[in-house]
Amino acid sequence: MSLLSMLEGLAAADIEFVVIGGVAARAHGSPRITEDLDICYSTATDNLDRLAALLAEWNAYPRGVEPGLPFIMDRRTLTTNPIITLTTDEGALDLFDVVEGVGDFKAVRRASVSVDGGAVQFLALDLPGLVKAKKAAGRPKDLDQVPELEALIELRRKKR
Amino acid sequence: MTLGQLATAISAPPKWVLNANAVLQLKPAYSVQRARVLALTRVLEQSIGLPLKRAYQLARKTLKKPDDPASWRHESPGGIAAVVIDRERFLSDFTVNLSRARAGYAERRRGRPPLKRKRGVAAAKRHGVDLSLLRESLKRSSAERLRRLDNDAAFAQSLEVKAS
Repeated sequence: MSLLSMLEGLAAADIEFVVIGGVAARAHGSPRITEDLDICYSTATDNLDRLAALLAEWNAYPRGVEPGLPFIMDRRTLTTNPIITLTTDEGALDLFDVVEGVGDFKAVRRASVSVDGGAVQFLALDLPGLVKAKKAAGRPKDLDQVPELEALIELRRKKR
Repeated sequence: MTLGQLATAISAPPKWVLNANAVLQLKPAYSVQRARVLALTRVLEQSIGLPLKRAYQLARKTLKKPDDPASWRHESPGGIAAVVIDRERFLSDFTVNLSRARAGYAERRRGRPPLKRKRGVAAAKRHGVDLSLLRESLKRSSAERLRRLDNDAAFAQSLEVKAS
């Protein structure tokens, strides 16, 4: 159970996704620790079916609610709920079909970069995309991180 | 539960909640029970076009007997028209939205923040901290927390953005 095992599982199940949020920021150099994996996923029917099947296998359940409440993990749940926050056997996972400030999966994919995670390769939202997303989310903890991400953009630019 | 969280749990803007309370003459109550009734009210109002008061009456009647399949179907006299609510689907979607509300993805607060500074959990909520993650973490032992930090830190250090 770990961020790495979730990423490996998603890749192995052939899920089309882009990592956003804390893990993406970490990939770009942020020192902040994150407990959950945030992903934006393709809403193509076959991708939704594969994702729903994988999450069912992982015993995914909405996070922060009492156990035993009604919950159906299927394509329709992914289609009708734009943000889903889950606890799974592999860890905490948040699903987004759209990233505010950036757009739908196609837009997020265009704004992504390839990340080498050692055991797994994946796409992650780039730094400008992360800044837009944080500003659009607008929560104090998101806005808190904007200066750090903007500094990373500048430092990476100077490094070249 | 805050107004923002309740609004998120029922997939409506906070303004709709405030208007509904006023029209239905309800005292403001931000509870899961109230959220469930208003969630179904909103589904009936938005998807079928029922007037708010009628939608609310139907929602309350339906949720009074959650385990009775018959209560989720309402027929007109003579059976010419019927409203059928997919109980399992509604409750599942409500669970997802409740989780989202508690994880800190509630409707963004607008306007000036309150003068009285909040502390502790209330302050964290307002800041957008995902309290569900904190609660999950508290279920683990210190050793488990540190082990996961170690594993995840090692993984995080191995991440490398490929040059384009």
